[in-house]
Amino acid sequence: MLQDLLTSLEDLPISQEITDNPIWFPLLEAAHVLSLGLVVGAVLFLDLRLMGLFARSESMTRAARVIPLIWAAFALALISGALMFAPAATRYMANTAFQVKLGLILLAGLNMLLLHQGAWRRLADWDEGAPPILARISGAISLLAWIAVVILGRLAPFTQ
Amino acid sequence: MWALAHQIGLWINQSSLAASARSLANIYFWLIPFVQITHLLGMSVLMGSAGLYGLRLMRAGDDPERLRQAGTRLVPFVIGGLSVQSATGLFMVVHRPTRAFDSLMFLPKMALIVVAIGLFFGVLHVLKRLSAPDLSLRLRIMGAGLLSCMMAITLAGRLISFLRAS
Repeated sequence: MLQDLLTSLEDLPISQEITDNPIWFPLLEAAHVLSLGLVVGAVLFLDLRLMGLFARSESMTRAARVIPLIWAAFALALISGALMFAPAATRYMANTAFQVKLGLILLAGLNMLLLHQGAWRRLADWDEGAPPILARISGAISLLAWIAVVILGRLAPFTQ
Repeated sequence: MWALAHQIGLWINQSSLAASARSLANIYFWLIPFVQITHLLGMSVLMGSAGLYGLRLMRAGDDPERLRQAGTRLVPFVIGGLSVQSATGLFMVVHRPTRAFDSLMFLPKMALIVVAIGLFFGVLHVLKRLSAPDLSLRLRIMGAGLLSCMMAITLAGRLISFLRAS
């Protein structure tokens, strides 16, 4: 069933267009790297603040003003990534580095969800001060997950 | 200009430095992926520091002292990111010089890096010297320039392999 889905993705007209027209891949890859760079760059400093290692004199609320930008950049990364994935869906899904990369993005999402359900609800208590231990752990998980996403994304073409 | 760049690329390509870089890459299969990954991580650090500082300047709602403090805090990250980018970028250029110098994007990327560095440290200089009422428009323009430069550098870097001058 998964194989049927992957094959149908490869057969989509847009997949054929991306394969046939040599201008698409460089543009999509450039958009993907730019958006991922924005996501990871913004997440890096937000996570360092969450871990209490950076900009401790600034409130967490002020640091979190970057979150809408992270979402916008993530949306662009998702769209450009999906468009690069579709024409070679079977090959990508068989790639271990790519599978782990997807797993880590899910882990980062789950980690963010847990943060928002937990420590973030009591943000008023620590907005100007030291973050609680659970927020620090969440920041560390997020930071490591996103660094690993960059590493695995670049490793995917070199691995099976 | 492209002809001169091509000649420089050929000259580096024939140098012993380029031969050493290729030899190292042949011996250590992981070297090229490692250098590329480090370059990407360095780019993310620069985007998160200098690029997003540009975005913050564009808002221009903060007081100059707070902006100056935020910028000063980012200086080690900008210098660290630039150092990593320079070292890894230099290796990639020496490893395959014609790939870089025959590209339409390489020289504009280098020029944009110089402009971005100038803008980042220029903003810190301006923040030290001027008072709040004089700052708003100038900072917004410099912030927009800084963010645009960082985005253009990233795009240019990614397109180096694809857009050839000849």
